[in-house]
Amino acid sequence: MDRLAFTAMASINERRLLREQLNNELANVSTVGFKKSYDNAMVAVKAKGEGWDTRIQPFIEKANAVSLEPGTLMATGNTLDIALQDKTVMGVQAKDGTLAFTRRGDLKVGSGGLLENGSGHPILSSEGGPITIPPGSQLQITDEGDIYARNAAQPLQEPPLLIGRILLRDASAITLSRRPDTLFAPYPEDATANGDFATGPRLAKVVPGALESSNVNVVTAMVKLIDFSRSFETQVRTIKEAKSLDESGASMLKAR
Amino acid sequence: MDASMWVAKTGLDAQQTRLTVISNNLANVNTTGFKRDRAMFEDLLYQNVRQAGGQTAATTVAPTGLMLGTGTRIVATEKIHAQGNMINTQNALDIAIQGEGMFQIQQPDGTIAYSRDGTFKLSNTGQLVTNNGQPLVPAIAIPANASSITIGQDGIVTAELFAGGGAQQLGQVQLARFVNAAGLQPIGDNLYKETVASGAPALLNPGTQAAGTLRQGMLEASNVNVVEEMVNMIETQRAYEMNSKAISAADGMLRFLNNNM
Repeated sequence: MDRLAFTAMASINERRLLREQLNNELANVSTVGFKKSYDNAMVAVKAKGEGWDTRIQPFIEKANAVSLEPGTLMATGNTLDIALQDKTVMGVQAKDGTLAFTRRGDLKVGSGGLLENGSGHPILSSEGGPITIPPGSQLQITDEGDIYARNAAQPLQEPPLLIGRILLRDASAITLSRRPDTLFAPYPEDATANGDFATGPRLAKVVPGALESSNVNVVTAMVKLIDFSRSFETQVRTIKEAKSLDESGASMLKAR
Repeated sequence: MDASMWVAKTGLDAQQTRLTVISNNLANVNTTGFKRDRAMFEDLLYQNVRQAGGQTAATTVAPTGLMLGTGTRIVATEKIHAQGNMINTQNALDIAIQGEGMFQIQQPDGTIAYSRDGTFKLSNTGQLVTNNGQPLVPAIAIPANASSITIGQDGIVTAELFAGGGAQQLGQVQLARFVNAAGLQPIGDNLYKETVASGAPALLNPGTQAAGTLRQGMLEASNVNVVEEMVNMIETQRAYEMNSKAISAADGMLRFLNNNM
């Protein structure tokens, strides 16, 4: 069979991965704080070797980088809902105990009194440990991520108690990568020993009382879906053409 | 066969569940003391399809890995325990809680369930019971010769007796307060059960230590915001359509493949 068929097949295979990624984005249009990955560039990789000059195959060059493009703000009025502004990310403790980052700000108080987000990851304070909420207190979160608690029994003229500050980092200067457990982490060249990174030039801020929706642009996604379908058809056509070329070659060699 | 179809299917599943949650909220728009649910989405684990630094050809390595997402799921439905509107009913046995806390309701099996629904009635023995006849804890019995009943903001129940018989204190309504009220398990009938996530209740007198105060003659309406639910419903429906579009696109591609090869 002609090599042309394999080149077309390589394209189908690589684009299959991209299509799966696109469908993951479409499935997560309602996930709070979901960030899509950057679009992946395809590069032409030339096969090395004698006589392989015609074999130029597509290859996904860069993937796995998280696009921190903002989603829509949805005002919920819940005191424990926060939306992270601009390119701010929030430090949480991953299930394996390491430090990771997220944009998901639907906070709640977990069973152990720890402040967690909607996926059950404990929120870390700027000092490094998880944040414990004293039982029976009303919470208030400021723009800078300071958490104030007030016990209802406490007289109103007394100031509320500062419990801690959420670990916020501005990621405008660096690119974040995705971890398998859906959280974000800096690339090794930007990371410090414990997985943290230096905050960028902008102020890391939150919007209390709101949530950030997924940043998947559905219009773009639907257009891409059509593009995938049509280019797939082109590739299949190419394979079919290669097949008929092969057949005509074979019929020429047939003994009469 | 085609992984992207299964990824889109998780989206359909999750949106379907979300529509159920929205429908339940809308159905309970007139339920006293109902707290609305919010479906919480979460992206599923990512697969490492190509390791960063993996070999791509004899001399080249992939500069970064390729992680593919596997879809979405509803991780939990969370009760939003925000205060509902107060409705004035003028009924002496209707009590609304202003602030946090829940009534304790004795269950037939002897355990305690918790409720925000303050539509109390009298049983045949004069005890305060819910609409379903389950008694309030601590038990409060109204004597047969009571002419009027007063429930204070601090929960103290007083009865004015017939014909100048004077006032008689009958007891105090206690409220149970949870560290994490969102962790309570709803069991229907406007009741909630304590779970590991909610923590053990703190039994408090109304108005003390962050417990709410009581309002006699009022009821707490459902905290469902109809407009918000409608917006959610539109969003859910469209997201569902997009995911089914993704499946039909994959289907079309496979059909084309079968017809043309």
